[in-house]
Amino acid sequence: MRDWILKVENLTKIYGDGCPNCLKSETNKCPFCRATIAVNSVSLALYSGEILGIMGESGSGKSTLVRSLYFDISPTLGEAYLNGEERNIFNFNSQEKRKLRNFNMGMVYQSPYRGLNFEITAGGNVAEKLLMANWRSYSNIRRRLIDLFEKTELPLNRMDDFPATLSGGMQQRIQIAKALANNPEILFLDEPTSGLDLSVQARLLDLIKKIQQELKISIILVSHDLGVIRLLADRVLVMREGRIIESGLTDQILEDPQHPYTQLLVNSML
Amino acid sequence: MTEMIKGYNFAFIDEYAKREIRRKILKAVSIPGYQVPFGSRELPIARGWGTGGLQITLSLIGKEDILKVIDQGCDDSVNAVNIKRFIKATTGISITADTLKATIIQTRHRIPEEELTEAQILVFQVPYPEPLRLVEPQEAQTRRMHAEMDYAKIWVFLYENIVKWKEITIGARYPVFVNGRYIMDPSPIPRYDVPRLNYARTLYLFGAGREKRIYAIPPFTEVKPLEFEDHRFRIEDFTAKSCALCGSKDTFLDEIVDGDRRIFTCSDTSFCKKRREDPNIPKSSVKK
Ligand SMILES: Nc1ncnc2c1ncn2[C@@H]1O[C@H](COP(=O)(O)OP(=O)(O)OP(=O)(O)O)[C@@H](O)[C@H]1O
Ligand SMILES: [Mg+2]
Ligand SMILES: [Zn+2]
Repeated sequence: MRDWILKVENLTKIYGDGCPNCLKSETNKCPFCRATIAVNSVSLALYSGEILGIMGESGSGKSTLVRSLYFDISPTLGEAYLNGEERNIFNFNSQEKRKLRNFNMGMVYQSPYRGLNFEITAGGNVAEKLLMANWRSYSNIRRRLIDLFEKTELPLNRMDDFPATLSGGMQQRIQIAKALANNPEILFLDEPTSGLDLSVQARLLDLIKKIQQELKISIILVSHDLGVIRLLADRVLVMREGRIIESGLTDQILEDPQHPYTQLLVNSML
Repeated sequence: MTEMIKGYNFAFIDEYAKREIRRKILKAVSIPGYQVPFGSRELPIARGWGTGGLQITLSLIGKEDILKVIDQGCDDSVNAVNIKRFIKATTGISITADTLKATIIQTRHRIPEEELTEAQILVFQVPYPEPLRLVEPQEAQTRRMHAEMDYAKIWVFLYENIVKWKEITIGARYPVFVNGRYIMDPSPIPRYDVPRLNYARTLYLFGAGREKRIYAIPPFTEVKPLEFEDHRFRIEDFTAKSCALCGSKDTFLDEIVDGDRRIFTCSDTSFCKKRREDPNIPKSSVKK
């Protein structure tokens, strides 16, 4: 077995005050206190160089899970560890968290409005990551941007344009270029292709696959689209009501699902 | 001679308030470039007209001090004269236009041409103390950014400046990095004055009355303008220009449009007068 690079233990996110019964709740609405248990006691490991898919219906907690790992959301309970670092990363101070976000992790959001600053140029959005890493030569920054634009198949002549003037597919590519800027070891992709035309989607998925193979980066890919999961993920976790209900190799889960809910999901797709 | 106003404490502000301001100044000096909040007092001068600088001056000034006040280099502007009149009336101390004779100099938008010494204090009037406001409207955010040294946004601003204009276009209020820790607004001094903040012999104090902030650059502190390795900070270019009054080629010049003629004169009026009397008078009398 390959080395794990990220390990998550009993991650829970409760919206609302919560009560002692929340974690026992069957659904993600606690019947006693009405709090939302968006993520309920999730444990997982991400192995080096793999694409781990997370699937599940809308509201099952997929985004809350990855956004907690990227420190956008602070979890209610739980721990997470990076290989080689003994402390629970949720206990890092804000400066240390920002460092992890900048150097060890990258994130692509479903909505480019969340992932990009529309007041600055496409190149500026990517450059921000380099500037955070103390790049102080303008020409080196421009050279690195050209690199990243080529790698993500973005037209170089759009580098100084504002995101609003670019197509949806290009906006997602900018998010990817930005996420890759400092060569992180972990990439979070939260529905990176939802809402795009099928042909645009297909090219973006190819790009993600290519980048993964080239850079050997470890990816957590969230999608409710089984086609996307089938195409990209090595392993898959199925989430429902904030919990992981089934996990395994992608082929195995899609060919021979064990949990009735997964069976329903897979069959409804056929 | 103006009479001292009766019924007020020396230097107008009560001693308790002065002591509080001095404490804030001490804190500012101990954390170079960090903006210290202070309880800005009401003064009989409208906020936005130098009340931040004025409160610093009033809380530091003693009977032996000699004061100089300039407004963009000029000792005789209405603004400078008003402030001098007020301080004179509430302290009775002596006033000078001579940079070298002053012990405290209050200034708006300039550093005097003549090199200041460790025996002097330069007090800047600051309209906008927050250098990050340019890129972040929210105070809570800019405070967090300073605390975490999260300065990427202002660097992106400089990057985009170069993308758009091929150079950094900030004129006055050029952001500086103080003591390797805080980004600071040097107040609207010209770029010409920015290098003179670096490793200076004098204590520089900055007061923003409306925004209730005090900050400082202690003597011999590193102050670096933000720049890229291949797009360096540059001062204003006065090549081939000289003062029409005194002939100086090494001073910061103001442009005056006189009919269809453009002429340049020293912005530091008191130094210009000295140069008219003696063109060879040096800018630095500090023995090195
Ligand atoms: N800020 C919030 N406050 C309260 N409840 C929230 C908040 N954010 C998410 N939730 C709830 O948490 C649950 C999980 O939401 P989450 O966005 O993680 O789901 P998801 O699996 O990503 O769904 P989708 O496929 O629609 O993106 C949902 O019930 C949602 O309504
Ligand atoms: Mg989601
Ligand atoms: Zn002159």
